[in-house]
Amino acid sequence: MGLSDDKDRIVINVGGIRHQTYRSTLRTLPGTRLSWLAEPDAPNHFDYDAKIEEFFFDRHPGVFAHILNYYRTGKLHCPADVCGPLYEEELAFWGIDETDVEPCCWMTYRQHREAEEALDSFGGGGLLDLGNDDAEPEQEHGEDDVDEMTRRLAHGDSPDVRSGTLWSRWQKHVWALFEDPYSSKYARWVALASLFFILVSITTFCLETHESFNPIINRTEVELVDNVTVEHTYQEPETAAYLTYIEGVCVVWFTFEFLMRITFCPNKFDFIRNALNIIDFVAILPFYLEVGLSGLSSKAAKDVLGFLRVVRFVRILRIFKLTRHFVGLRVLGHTLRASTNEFLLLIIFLALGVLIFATMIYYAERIGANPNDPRASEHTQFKNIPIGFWWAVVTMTTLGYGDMYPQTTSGMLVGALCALAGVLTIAMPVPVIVNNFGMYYSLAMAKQKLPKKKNRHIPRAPQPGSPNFCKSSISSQHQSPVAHDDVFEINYKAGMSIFFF
Amino acid sequence: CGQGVEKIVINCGGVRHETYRSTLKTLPGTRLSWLTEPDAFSNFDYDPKLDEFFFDRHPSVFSFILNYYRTGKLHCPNDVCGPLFEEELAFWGIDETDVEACCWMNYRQHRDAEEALDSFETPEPDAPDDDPALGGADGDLKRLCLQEDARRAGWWKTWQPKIWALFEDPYSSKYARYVAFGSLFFILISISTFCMETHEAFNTILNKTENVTVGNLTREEIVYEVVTDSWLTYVEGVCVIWFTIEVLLRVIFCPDKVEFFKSTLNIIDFVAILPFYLEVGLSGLSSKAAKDVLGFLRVVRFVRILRIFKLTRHFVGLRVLGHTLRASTNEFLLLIIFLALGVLIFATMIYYAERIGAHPDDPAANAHTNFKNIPIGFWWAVVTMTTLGYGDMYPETWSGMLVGALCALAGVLTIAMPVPVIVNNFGMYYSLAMAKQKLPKKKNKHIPRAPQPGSPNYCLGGDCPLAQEEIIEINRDSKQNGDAASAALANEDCPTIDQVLSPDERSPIGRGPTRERYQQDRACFLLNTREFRATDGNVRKGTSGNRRGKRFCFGRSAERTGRRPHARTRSALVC
Repeated sequence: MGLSDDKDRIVINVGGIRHQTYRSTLRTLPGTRLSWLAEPDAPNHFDYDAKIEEFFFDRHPGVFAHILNYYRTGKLHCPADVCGPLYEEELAFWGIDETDVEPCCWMTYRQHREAEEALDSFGGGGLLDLGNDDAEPEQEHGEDDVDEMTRRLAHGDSPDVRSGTLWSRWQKHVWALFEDPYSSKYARWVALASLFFILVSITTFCLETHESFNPIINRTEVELVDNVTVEHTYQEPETAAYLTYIEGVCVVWFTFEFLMRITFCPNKFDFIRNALNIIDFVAILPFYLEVGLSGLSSKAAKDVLGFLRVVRFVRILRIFKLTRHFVGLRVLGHTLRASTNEFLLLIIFLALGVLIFATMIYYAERIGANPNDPRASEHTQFKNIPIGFWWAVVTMTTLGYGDMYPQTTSGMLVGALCALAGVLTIAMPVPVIVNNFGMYYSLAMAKQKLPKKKNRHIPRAPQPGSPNFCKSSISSQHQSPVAHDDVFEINYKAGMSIFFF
Repeated sequence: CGQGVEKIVINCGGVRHETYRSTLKTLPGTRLSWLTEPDAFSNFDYDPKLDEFFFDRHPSVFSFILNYYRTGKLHCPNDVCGPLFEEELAFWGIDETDVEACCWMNYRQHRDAEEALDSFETPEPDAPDDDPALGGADGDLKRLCLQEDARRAGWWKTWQPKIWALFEDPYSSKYARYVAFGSLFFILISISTFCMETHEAFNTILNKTENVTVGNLTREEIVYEVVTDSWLTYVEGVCVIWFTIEVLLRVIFCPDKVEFFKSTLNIIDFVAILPFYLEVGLSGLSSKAAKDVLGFLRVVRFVRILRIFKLTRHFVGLRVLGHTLRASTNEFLLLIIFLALGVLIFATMIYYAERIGAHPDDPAANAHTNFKNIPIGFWWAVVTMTTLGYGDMYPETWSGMLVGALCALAGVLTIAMPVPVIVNNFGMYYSLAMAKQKLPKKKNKHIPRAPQPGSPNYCLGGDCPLAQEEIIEINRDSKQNGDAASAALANEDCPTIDQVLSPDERSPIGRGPTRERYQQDRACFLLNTREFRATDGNVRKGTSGNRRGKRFCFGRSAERTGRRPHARTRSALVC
């Protein structure tokens, strides 16, 4: 018994701290790195010290205690004192699937992942690459720092840089010039110009609707009705000409920008799929149509023009171009995308409240009605339930325009309840969204403030026979962030990994 | 057996850490990488019996450091305080910029906070230093320097700091507190007068007759003039006299005039008393020009409300608020941009939405609605998005109501999102300011270790910055070790270098009277440490091609706050 016990026990030295367990414990999770230790030929594959009978792993000892505990208890919890990605990496190394994490720890474990995904999207704007050379290709933005070195290596070998044809050299420069405002001094000028034109165009757009820029002109039109020529006089507002010219200049700039971007973008398909680019395109279209059609005088052209006048409002979409310039807006966009559920929740809460309180106020206000009034709605503004919706929204959001308000005691009671319910309804889902925003924002700020990495860490050379030996097979299986050395290792090990699985 | 050599045991504070030599080599130029060098046994505390290196440092933080070598990613432990980790990083020679983005915010937080603290502490925490009786070890040194000064310079030197403290720092002494109360009283009186002046009851309308010559005709014209009750003016006058005395004394006794005039608060002080004197001076004149200027001054009177900012001297909370606003400029801008965006979008939407139901005969299509154009819609959008809802404009068509509902919802979110960031900033600064106030006076019982050449402390200098022995050590060191080693170690030991910060990091310390008060010290320090600097120069020259050296200069920015007293100690010793 004692002998079998001895044989069953195993010592694992992780980063200098000795952990002791039974081989049977390690067998509880087959297919993981530790379970291979229990196999008879393990000493050949791992760093085994026959003298003191222990396996050595060069990993974080504290986290390993949690991992080993998973084998013992069958429950995987996260240590509270380490950062998520660190734990993730350890899990990947030990070959444990992250879905085994217990629900109580899942949220904390998962948090950083979502955040990192978000980070990648902020990275796209080039804020991270403040120090980058102009020559650095745009494709690198938003990709993981870890891979930078391998990519750079690969890049150095890629023929398009070596041969350096005019197109491939300039394409990147021009694309960075227009896409990434922080890539160079000139890019900053372009960004400033773009910003200026956006602001001018938005200002023009708003001013156009003001009466003083829209003199009403009497127009006479000769119309043929039943062989009789009738002079028809009608009034039409006409926009002041110089506003149109300003708008024209802006549109010319936007067109130029758009054309440059579409010509020099590295991937046309991605470019067209991007919502921002579609907005760019849609926002310049109406102007050209309007100019093109204004020459024509046919009836159809007039109708289309009248329609276009309404469609002008798409020009306001240009404001979304600002997202290229302000990281905060990107954060906002990302928050909204990430909080769709909470947003829906908020709307559902509100809709529910609006329905209930609109109904309640309708009936509450009818209580004091004059018996002679057939509709019982003479004395009140709440003529029907749909109009009550508006009141309920205004009350629940604590707006209180004062265009409608309850006038009976019962109505006031409902109004008070409605306001209270509104405060709670809004207050409940909003913090979730706000938290999301706070997280993304602090991450974006962290990225911004994070000094340029020197990345001085020189990855270890792959050592067959050492624990890193097995790393590639596992990490490739678990889709974990692969260290660069693994890139080289993978090919080498491909054959070997078959042995393990 | 080859692996036996390959492995290395590091005993860090009693906990054994084991790793491969190759792992340590992944970060060349750091302290741990020197362990792999052949002469490491002689340079570090090596125990040949146990075959391990000993470092007297925090063991659990070390496991994170070691993990950086293993994985190439530097994460921060969540359970230790930022400065502690910072110090460990500095000791192990790891650049803080290597911290991963996910931990950077955590790591950075305390630094931001400390920078903020530096600006709060302007008067209070250092005040006792002026009082020789209160100072600890620092105070002694200070006194030594002061006495020397006093002997030489006499009256001015003795009284200047006292009077300055009397007016600048309300908590420095009993008299200073009285002065502060007096100041507070006059501020409140002046503000109440300012507000009451505008009330009708204190403003009598006088009919004045004036002779106006038009052409050759002289005609009497009745001019209505608003005259403020004279007793209010007298009250205001008394207040202004007090403020003038205060400003004059502060100007005269401030240690650094340039700093003084750069301070916004002092400019406000000055600007707020100016109109009164101009008004009094000009009221004697009756020329037309003087009248015009007077009329202008009556409008400019509103600068008197700026006096309310004088209260920041008396309330920490106001300083915290000011600091929060300064620190949250970005978020503030963000809030404005969000709001501007929402306002633009919803003003456009409501404009078009309200025009949908227009009467066909109406050419401008806006007779039935309040929303005549987009710019006026801005106001409605702001009122709606902030959920103010004055009710001066509201949508009246169904489509308009829909837009209104959306606008209100969007407004709630828009405002709600950046506000917590600002609020968090405020909370952090406030709790820090409170902590500073409540923190008991440090006894500073920790006696720094004596330098032990040959022991690990030998390389440790940076963390127990001590007297001149180190200077000698550094020289020896640079001869002994490899280039990289000497650079890193020497720079760590050199106090002038830890003051070398990136300019923006440096500014908050350089500014402010706290620093200036020690001008004397610093000057003396710089004068007497010429040899010191020379050493520094040598080291730098020797390693100009070496990245490590530079890295340390900037990496060590950490302990400024902690280091200042040491620097002072050293200077005093050198004196």
